[in-house]
Amino acid sequence: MTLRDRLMLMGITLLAVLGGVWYLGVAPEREKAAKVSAEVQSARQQLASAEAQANEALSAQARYATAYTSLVTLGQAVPASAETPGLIYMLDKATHKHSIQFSSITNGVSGTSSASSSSSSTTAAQSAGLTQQPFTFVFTGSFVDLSKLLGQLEGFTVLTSSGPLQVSGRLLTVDSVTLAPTTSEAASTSNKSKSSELTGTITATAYVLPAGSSELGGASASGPASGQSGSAGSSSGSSGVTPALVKATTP
Amino acid sequence: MKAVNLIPGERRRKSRDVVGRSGGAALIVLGLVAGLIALVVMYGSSSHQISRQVGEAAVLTAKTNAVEARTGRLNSYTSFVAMAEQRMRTVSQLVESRFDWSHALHELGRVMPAGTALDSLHGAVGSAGSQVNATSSASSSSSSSTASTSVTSSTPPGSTPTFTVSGCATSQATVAQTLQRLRLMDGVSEVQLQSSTSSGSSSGGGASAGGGSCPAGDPSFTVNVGFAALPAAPAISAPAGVTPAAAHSHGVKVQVSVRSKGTPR
Repeated sequence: MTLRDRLMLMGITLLAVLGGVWYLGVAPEREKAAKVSAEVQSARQQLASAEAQANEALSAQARYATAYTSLVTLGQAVPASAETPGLIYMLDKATHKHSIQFSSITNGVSGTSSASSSSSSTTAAQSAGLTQQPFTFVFTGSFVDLSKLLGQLEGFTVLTSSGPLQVSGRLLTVDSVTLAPTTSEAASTSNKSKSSELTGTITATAYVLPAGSSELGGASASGPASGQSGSAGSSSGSSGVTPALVKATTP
Repeated sequence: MKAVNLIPGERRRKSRDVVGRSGGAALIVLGLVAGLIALVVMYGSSSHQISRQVGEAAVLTAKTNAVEARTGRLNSYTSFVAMAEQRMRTVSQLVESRFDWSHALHELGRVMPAGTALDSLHGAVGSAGSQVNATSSASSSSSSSTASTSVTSSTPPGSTPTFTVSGCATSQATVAQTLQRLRLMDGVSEVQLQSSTSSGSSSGGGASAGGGSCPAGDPSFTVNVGFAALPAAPAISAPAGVTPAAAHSHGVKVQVSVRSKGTPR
């Protein structure tokens, strides 16, 4: 065996030994290190996600008072129950502003016009978590007054130009309007036998929360109910509403 | 021919010195030691990295758990605020998708020409894409039922409001003018004459329009007015809130009154 052969053999042996150490010792350790590094990366992402959720929750906590006030106010527009007496009172009050006689209100849709009778099937229809509640109102007054009244009916809940809703009464959607001359009998009853007197039959839809829902989902001014569900239309909290507490402090 | 080594003898001895007397074994051992040292350094570095990152992962997991626990305690707030925002969005969309009846009536009063008088008016919000039809009462009946059973609002976006206006005019020319003027109403897409019959004519069409209540010789007319479809409510992103109204800011100032009987304006 020549010197060159011996050197080559020893070189190959050296490489084999180093390769064996690499594959048996160093490579698995490096692989493990890469895995742990990926785990750390994942843990960092989870932490970032959790922190984002926490920030969101903190923001929700900060906005709670506003949301609570909004829901209380929205309860006027869309109550949990039919609240028909309140609606009648509201309509009566609206007619007092004009020379209009509030003749009748019918729960559901009366058969006075073919258009309105057909939409009686909407009673059970639910819309976006709200239940529709059709009504037929009959008013007597002049064209101008009835026109103003229509604006007032829809003006109980309006969206202001700046964005927020402005609520002063029930949310009503007028489905149909029929204006016809007042019959002489009705005119004489109202002691206003003017030729300009019209009978306005208005078919409108009011909205209520779905059955079993409460306006505030059991929340109080101090905080939400512990088991607050996230559903928008059907908050399944208790129907009882804790009265708002207001604390006044003097400096 | 015999090969001759031209390297001087002393030089030949020096090259043998690189290999040395061990015949290169020392070099191999040195290489082995150097290689092993490099591998040990790499192994140690990896081990150190592992131990450091395992600790870091434990700290991160603990932090995550703490943050999640804190978030869990505030979940009820998140749910409540989400519910409030969803409800506001729903109500806002219902409000946005309504037809402005008051404005439409104001517009009607504004455009009606002198020499006409309204006898009756029927307005309804029909289904999406419905057109003005000669038999409007029937069509609006069916369309309104279709609209309100299948969609969110009773007057959903895309619904077409229609007016059926009946009245008297002093002449057929005034009826024609009325048709022209009705097209000037804000939001009107189509105006269609259903009938215009003089009360003195033999067809007796006046009864259908105004029950024959027009003055003798004056035509009674019935016109269908179709409005543009109700627009889709814009996406409302978490309204800032709801403000209780102190007073009504709504309402259109009606400038022109329309008499129910044939008095010219």
